[in-house]
Amino acid sequence: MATISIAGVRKTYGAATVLSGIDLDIGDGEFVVLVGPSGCGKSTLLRMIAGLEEISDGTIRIGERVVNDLPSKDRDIAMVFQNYALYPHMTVRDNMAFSLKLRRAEKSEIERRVRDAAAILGLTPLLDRLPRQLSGGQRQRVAMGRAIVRDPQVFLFDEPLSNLDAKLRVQMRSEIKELHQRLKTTTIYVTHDQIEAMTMADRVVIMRDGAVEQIGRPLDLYDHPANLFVAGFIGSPAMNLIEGHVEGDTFRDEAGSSWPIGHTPSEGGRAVLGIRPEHFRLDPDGLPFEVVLVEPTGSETQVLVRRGDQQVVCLLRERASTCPGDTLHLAYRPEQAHLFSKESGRRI
Amino acid sequence: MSRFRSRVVVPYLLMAPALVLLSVFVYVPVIENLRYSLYRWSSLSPTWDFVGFDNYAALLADPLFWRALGNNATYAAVSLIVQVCGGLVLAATLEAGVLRGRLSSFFRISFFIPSILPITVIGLLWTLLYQPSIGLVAQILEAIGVPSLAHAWLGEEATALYAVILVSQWQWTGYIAVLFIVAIRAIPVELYEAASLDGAGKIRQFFAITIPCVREMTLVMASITVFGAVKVFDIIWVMTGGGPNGSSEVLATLMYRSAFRNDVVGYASTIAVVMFCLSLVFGLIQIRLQREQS
Repeated sequence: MATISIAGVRKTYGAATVLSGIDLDIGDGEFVVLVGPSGCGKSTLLRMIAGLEEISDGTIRIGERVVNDLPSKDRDIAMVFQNYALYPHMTVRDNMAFSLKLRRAEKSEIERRVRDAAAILGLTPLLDRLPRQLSGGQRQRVAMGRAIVRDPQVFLFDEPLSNLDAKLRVQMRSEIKELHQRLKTTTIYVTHDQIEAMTMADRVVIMRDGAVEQIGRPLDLYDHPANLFVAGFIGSPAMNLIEGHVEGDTFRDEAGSSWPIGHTPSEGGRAVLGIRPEHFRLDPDGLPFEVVLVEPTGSETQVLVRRGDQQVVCLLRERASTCPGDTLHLAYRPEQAHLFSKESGRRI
Repeated sequence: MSRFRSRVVVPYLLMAPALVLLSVFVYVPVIENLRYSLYRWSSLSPTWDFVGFDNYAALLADPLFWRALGNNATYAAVSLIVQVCGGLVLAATLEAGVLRGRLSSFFRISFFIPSILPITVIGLLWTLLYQPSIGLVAQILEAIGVPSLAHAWLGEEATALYAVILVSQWQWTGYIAVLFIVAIRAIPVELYEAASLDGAGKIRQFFAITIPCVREMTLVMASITVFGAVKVFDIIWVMTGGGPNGSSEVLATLMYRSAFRNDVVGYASTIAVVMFCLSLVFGLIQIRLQREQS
């Protein structure tokens, strides 16, 4: 296990800047998820930590060592790739043993480590199979097994679940989390799926356009998004963002309808009000909305409603027997509303 | 009836044109050639004498046949080592990022160009290069201070075959390297990255990833090279004509000489049958290896 310290790390390709000054400290045994839309630079950052990309500027430390110029093999890290990167001509056993053989480990030691890792991951009956004889989930486990046997200081995961179907993804998510709780190895995990980030991480790093937007514990990001991007990115369905302006302790949307906000923000003027769909509840004393679309999912009902010109999505726990055209009275707790500056996008 | 027609009749109808062409231009000539080999006849002889396997017995007793067969084997062995193994190493080196950008492209094109030149041009070009007094090879040897190493490369029994084989390697190694480059590019780059993280250096990656991942292409290249070695004719005919004194004779030049110079067509057909059998054996080996791989 080790800490990781990333200071002022930049990545440029000619004139194009892919990462612009990333600062991040990861604690010993911490599970950190880098999340963001495609092209935000999260995989590039991970590959720089792995030593697969050169660092244009800044410093990366693993433990006490600056690893900028250290080859991948000397960084004491293991990586799980999106497409698993299993050696196709080697059996599961040989895939897992490969790195140990290269390190000239004792045969008995190799056998013991492979056996232990296989037992942890439920791969024991599959040790003599080739990767092409395995299912996607099994291949994923072998890729993890290959990382585990090395007992590295750091695990790196590069979108490891994106090739799996939805059901298997949920299962593997739990398995990775469980594995981390058991091994307590420092882990950096890259994904574009915010659900994965929220459910697995000790801390989440949200990235956009090569920069860090916010770092924090999953629920802190959910409860206190620092800006409009984070507010829209975290949460599913996405937060309702309503444009308007602040007048004292009231928010008025573009049509002039007022929305309670519960506090007087630090700055007035043009703003964006954010309300999460799940924070709406049915309340006879609430604001009146016209129902546009009803989408029952069984456990909850997603309803698209309209107030004046403003459409919002609300997620109701109860089975609302409502139809398009009906009027629903909805309320939310004003302290759960978020306000952002229209100009800067920052939380106010 | 219509279902029977679509499942049984239609596939045969679709294959019929190819089968007819193959039969007329491949299978019938092969069988006819087998028949020819059982007769003593020349292009002008009014009658054919049935001699059974006498032509085969004569061939097996002909030292030139064994020499030609040995030369074919030498040609195949050198080609396998230089063209296939060398081509793979060349391709891996060009793809390993040792040479970057335009330099890599320059070498790729340079290596490939000889394969698109006509064989007669290459033959005449290298005959000039090998020329003992004014040839470039002799001049280079003189320039580097070892004129004593100069030979009449194509005129001496000890060197003629190898001089021609060298030209073939020069011509085809680049072509095979380009095909290997295509195969290497199909290997996911993550395999190399994973191996790099596992602690494998470039050479270990070549043996642990590149070679196993291009095994199928290697087999195809090896087969093409061996088939080419069995039937090699043009470059030898252009450069040495099989000489001097039969030292660079191969089965195809021996067959050609027998048929069109010595006019012993039955004997030439016998050599053709041997070449066919050799190709058949190597073909069956290739099919078997490919089946094992899949």
